[in-house]
Amino acid sequence: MSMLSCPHCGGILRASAKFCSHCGHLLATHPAAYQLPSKSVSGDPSRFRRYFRGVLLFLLLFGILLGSGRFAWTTLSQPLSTHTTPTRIAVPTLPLRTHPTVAGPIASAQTALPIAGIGTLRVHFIDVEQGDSTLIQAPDGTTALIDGGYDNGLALQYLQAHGITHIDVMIASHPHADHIGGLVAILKAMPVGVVWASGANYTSGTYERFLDAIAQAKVPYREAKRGDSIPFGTLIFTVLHSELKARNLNDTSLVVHMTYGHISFLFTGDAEGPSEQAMLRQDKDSLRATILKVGHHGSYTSSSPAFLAAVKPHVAVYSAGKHNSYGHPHASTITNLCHAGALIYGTAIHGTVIISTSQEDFTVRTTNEAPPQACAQPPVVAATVVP
Amino acid sequence: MEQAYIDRFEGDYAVIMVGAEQLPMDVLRHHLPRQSREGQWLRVEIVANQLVSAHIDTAATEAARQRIQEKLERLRRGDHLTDT
Repeated sequence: MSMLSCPHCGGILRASAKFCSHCGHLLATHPAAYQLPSKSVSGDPSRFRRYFRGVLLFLLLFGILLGSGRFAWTTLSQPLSTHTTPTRIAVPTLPLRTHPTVAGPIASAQTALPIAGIGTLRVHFIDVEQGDSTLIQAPDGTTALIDGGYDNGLALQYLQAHGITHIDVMIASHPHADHIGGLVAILKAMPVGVVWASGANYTSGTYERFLDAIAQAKVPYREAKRGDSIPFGTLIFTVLHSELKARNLNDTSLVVHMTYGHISFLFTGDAEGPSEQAMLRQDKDSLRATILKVGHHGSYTSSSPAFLAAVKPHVAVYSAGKHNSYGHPHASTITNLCHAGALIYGTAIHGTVIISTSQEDFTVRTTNEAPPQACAQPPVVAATVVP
Repeated sequence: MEQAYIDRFEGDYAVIMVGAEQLPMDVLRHHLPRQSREGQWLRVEIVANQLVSAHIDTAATEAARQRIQEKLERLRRGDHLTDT
């Protein structure tokens, strides 16, 4: 009986395994490369019988585990990296999912990505340093851009490097400069079909230049409120939150949800705790998403355990600059995401993170080759000393 | 002295956008006037990349508010789509 070893973690696997039962690594595309030499079982009949009984026992146990769902859960929720503490990842909050995660390694920074093929939707969490910018390429070529980072040219540069010549739907989550600054250059550089915003007004110079760029490019301007649908080709963004009267501009963020087959995405802008609480009250059942764009760059102001328990993300992606002054992402957020069972990627570590999906499953690629972010140490609960 | 505005607060920091280029700069929040708010315009003095002084520019803030409100209303009405 031939066996395989996982190229990612070295675990021993069945010859027919498509995924590593230890770390979740995809094997199906290149099993031959990792095939171990077969062991001979001929010769001694009693040895053969022992071996045969062993195989039967293995199949019996495997069937029991599979029937209970336990095996599948283990396969899908184990960390992909040996750097991650398995016990922490294995907090059993992740539900059984029918689609496998295929993660890591990954396109190099210099490798141009192929144009989205038929049926493939790609979501690019662009590394714009400290800021947010997400490009969505629908299978029919329709493009959407949520935010553009600072006015530093990085988002435009990324679009041009990947052959994007137009944006059909531009969404500005909220008017802070690290979200709308880069949209100005894009509005000047390529056709944009429509701009959607929450309508939150601001007195900043960046916001004024953003409005000027929309006017000069003669792009229709629309405002969305909770419950609205933003058309995106054959898909839609459902607006789960928008609060114009929020005291904190971050809480005016448009939070949008998009579903493609069995895979769903939640884009949160910089929505903080009050927004999360409002969504839990109003739209709790709508929050569930396979992929979560982590709110407010991974700040402790967002990603509460209750919110994450409703979203149940399989993968969480935060966008933050390396060595930023604000400590993004905060350790408490990483801990919360770990406890929610999410694999964590961040632009500060992984560079641009690209999720590709054909409705049933998805792959994660990053420009920097690195395993998902390791979990932070759990908070130490001090023992109460009774004198 | 040059013009700046407070883009946002991030924990102990304020992110101010400085000068005609409106380049971001992180300054400690307590180095700004106590009554500072997001979106306010400032007059700042920066020496060797350090904030030396900052004063709230109420007139500039109010002028920006009115100007931007008018621009937003034009976009909402779609006036810009028919401009020649």
